[in-house]
Amino acid sequence: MELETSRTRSGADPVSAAPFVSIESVGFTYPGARRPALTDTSLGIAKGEFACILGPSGCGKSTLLSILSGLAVPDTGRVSIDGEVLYDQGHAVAEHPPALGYVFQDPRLLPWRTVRQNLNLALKGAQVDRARWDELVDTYLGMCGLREYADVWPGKLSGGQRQRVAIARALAIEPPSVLMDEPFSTLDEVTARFMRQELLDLWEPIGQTIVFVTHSIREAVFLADHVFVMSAGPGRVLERRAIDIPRPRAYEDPHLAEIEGELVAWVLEQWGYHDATAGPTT
Amino acid sequence: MTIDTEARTPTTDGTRARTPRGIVRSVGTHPLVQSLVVTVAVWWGLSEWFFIFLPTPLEVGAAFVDAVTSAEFYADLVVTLRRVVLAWIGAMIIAVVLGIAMGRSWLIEAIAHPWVFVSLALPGPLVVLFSILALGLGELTTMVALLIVVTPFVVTFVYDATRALDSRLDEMSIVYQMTARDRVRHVFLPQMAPALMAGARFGFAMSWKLVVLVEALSSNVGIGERIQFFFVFNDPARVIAWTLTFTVVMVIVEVFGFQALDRRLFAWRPEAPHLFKT
Repeated sequence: MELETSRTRSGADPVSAAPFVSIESVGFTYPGARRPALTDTSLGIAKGEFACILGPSGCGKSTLLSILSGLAVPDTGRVSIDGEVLYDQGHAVAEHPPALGYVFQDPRLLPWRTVRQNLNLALKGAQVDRARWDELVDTYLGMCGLREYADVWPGKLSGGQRQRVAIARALAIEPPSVLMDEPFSTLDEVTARFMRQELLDLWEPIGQTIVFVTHSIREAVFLADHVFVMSAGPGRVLERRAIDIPRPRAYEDPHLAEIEGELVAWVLEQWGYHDATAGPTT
Repeated sequence: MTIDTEARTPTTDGTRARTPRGIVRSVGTHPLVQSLVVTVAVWWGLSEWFFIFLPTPLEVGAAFVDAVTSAEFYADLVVTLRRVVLAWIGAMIIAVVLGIAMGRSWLIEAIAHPWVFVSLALPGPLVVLFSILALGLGELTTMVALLIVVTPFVVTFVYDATRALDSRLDEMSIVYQMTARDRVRHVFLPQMAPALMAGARFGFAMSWKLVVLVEALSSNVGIGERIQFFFVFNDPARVIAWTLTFTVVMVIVEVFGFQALDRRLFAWRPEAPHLFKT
């Protein structure tokens, strides 16, 4: 099972040993905001794990990714990736933070640069040897089914293709960890389903550590080794749930639907929708 | 209007015209040619029957040929063009620095914004007259007057574009750890390009408009001075002909300068849909 192999790769259970991606008691308040976005948030993700962070809108799950990627500095707590401490008690510690892949909700490609130039810029930023650029771009575009679009302007591609380019960009720099912020939420359901399956097909042989933020419970259960459920804002992690469904998984698998149902019921209570579950008597 | 509906009409057999007669016919159906013909015809009619002072196209044509075959014209053209280009470059440099600074720093914005706003409304002739009073007649006066009038407009273009930058692309460039140089080159400048192009075009045209006035009032050489000279000697055909000469220069700059640059810079843009299909 993929889950088992990833654990063997990391050498230990992520909770008992130092995890690959580690967030400890992190708190964050946006400048000028009255309520904190994150309070006392902790989570640990093992190397090679596919982790989903699940939470309602505005719970601070995207903020978590901003912190991991260096866009925001947490006020309190400690953050480390692969043993390198990024932030400690409100201070940026790492001089050269590790290169990370990041897939945003929207593709965020530079429309005035070709697909290849977009990927090259990310490779340059990650300080990948220039001699390997062409090979990496071709390989990862090929894996995303876009090899023949390398020298095309992004504006010529469909929304789904653009998001695939964004995924190829995140993977091509071969980072220790890839962050994804609801990357399929703006696509239509059929394309989104296809892309989720594709993402798993891409990820399984590479085994990069993926931190995937979503508000869709079905998506989280389908993709993840572990789902971290966050509270409604201000955010903190309520629970870490293992999804013990063997891979490859099918989106329509009844077992998956069962786990989803359980999680939905639990989550509704946690997120404060008591009336919705209480039935007609109240 | 017939001009528009007839545009781009293929020849009757559906293929492109290749015979000499076909070429003549296809030139004849070009909207630009048609509008030119109509304009000249209307001009002719007006000068023949309504406005005695208005020279006919033929008189202007003769004066035009006279002008462009004289050595004097090219001396004046070089002087005027040099003034326009220098003022334009100066205005662009100031506008880019000030416009970006205003868009990025609230302090500079707070200090500069009222001044830019007020100077937008300064009448051109007033600036010219005060420049002459303050600095006397000479190249410096021309330069200062042009800069004071043209720069605020270009600043406004740049300033607005700087405020409308896409922060999402900024985040992307930070996450992917692009160098400062790459961020300027690949993220910042391409976003500024449309405003810079618009500002450059506008600034160039504006410099020309004003240089005529400055030369007429304060200079003894240049196309504006010639126009003023012919005006004083009541020779409207030459006034129009000399104005046309510089218009031709402007068209050349537009087609071989700005439009060529446009094609290069904005090749990535998907073709905009035509709202009205003919």
